[in-house]
Amino acid sequence: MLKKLLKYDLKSVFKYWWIAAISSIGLSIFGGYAVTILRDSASEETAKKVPIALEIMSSIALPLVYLGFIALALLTTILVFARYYKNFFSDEGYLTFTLPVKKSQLINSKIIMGGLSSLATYSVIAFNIILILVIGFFDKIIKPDFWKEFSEFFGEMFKTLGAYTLVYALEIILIVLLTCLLSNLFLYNCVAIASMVVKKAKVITAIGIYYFASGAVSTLFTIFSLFGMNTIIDTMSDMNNTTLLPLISLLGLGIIIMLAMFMALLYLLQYWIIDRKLNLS
Amino acid sequence: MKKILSLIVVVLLLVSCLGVTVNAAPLYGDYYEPSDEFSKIPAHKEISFSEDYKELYLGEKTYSRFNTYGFYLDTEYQLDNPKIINDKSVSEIYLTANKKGTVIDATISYNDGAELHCSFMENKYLEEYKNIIANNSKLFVDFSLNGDKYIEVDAEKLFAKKVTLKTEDFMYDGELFYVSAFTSDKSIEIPRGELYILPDTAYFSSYDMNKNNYGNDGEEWILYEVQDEKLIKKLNESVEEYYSDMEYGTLMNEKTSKTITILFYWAFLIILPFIVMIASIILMILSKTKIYKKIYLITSILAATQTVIFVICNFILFK
Repeated sequence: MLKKLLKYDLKSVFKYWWIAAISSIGLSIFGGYAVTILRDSASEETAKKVPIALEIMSSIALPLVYLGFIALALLTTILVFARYYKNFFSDEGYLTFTLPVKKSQLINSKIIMGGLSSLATYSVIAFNIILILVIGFFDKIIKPDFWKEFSEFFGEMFKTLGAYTLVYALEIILIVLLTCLLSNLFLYNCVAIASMVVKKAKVITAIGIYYFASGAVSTLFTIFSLFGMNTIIDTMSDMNNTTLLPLISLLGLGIIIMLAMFMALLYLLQYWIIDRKLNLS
Repeated sequence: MKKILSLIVVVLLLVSCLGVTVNAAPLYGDYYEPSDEFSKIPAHKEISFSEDYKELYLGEKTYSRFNTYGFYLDTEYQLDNPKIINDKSVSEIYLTANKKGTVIDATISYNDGAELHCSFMENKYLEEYKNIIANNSKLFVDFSLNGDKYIEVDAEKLFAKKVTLKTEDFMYDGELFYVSAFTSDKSIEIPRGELYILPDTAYFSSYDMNKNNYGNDGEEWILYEVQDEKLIKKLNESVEEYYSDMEYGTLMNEKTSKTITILFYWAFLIILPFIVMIASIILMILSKTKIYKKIYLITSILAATQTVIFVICNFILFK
């Protein structure tokens, strides 16, 4: 049953999402050419060949590309938010909760839908950045020296990290996946809390709670990274590789477990609201 | 929304960090402590020079060219030659002063981009200054690097051993790191020279000896090797404090930063999951519904694992 639920959830998000994704890819192609033009205008040899109008347009294009990335991320959040809210807390909720499925399956479907949407968005943004760099620095990329340096860099990395390369890669993938799932679960909880505490203006309240809660979390992490990172980095930079490499992997594992724990807590809250505090009136 | 909000918060914090850095910047090698009164005076307002540009009139005060100090960024535009000065239109005169306003440091900017840099001293102190130079008994060293802590030094210890060094020979981590030494009369606060700090030594450079040096590599300086171990130690402590401030921000030093880190670390990575673990176990026992029991069990296992992992990391990181 989860598959069926997921199918409809994904359909509702991706029927609009792909338009934004294609648009952002298109923008990135322009962005890549803008980088080429700006590089030409900065170079003494080719500067005179670049018309000023083209240079100005390229300077405007790059911030637009950046805005395109933000718009894609924003649209994904809005689509996921809308699907979750409409499906659970609007009139449609009466139908949703009469379906012959467990509440946990309904929640799981939404979490997977949100996670996949975020993952797809991040992948498209990463692809766009690579696309801009490939087009913008094409003349350098086609040179063998670039690939030589590229392989040397990775060769050196494998040599230093050894088997830990695989461990770190795996941990990073897991952290990204959990972050995608967690961020959406966080959003769902804000909506659920809003619908629990107010009867009218649920959407505005949900956005307000989301703003406040995510702002608080970001500020906390920023304060920690501002004042705490130096000490940790200083301590770690004094360590030898025998201690440092296992420590990083252990910290990575700790972060994964921490994210999973937060997910479990948010899942619990989500389930409890849907199960005991659902208010569709 | 979350991303935009995070971005705003990060930008705001970055801006405030930049503010801290900018505030910290004048501490480094700051020769004058600019006062508000002299910080920036436009060329056309209350300021005039004598015809030969050897005197500066600022309001009611008269300043004379400071003979033992004052250098030209571009010798083509010497102040002594008013014709050249007059041929060039001045866009701005930037004045800074020491705290007492006894010494004025002038940077004259021309419309063609050239700059001229020189120093003037208030006339009523000029004679006094010359006497102090001649006697050379005591000097005050601003060992805190920011003008609020002074130490009195016996001038004999500064002038005891004369050496000639190239600029690169007395750099601290690739930069000239210095503090100002003032004349013995603290009330007029007139600079006498600079003390260049190195990890295990320090050199004194008197302004009247190296006035044409700019700090470029290869330039020869006449210096005095400081023969006061206590002073060298104090100066090095100031440098360490300065670097610590630069690294951790002026709001806290390394020790405070470490304490905050450990507090954050324990609060969020060890104590919080520990509380979650205990609460989950209790709720799991009390709960009657199967699915809640299951979630509480998963949460408590995860929280316990997190606590154990970060306790282990704690011993490695902060041992």
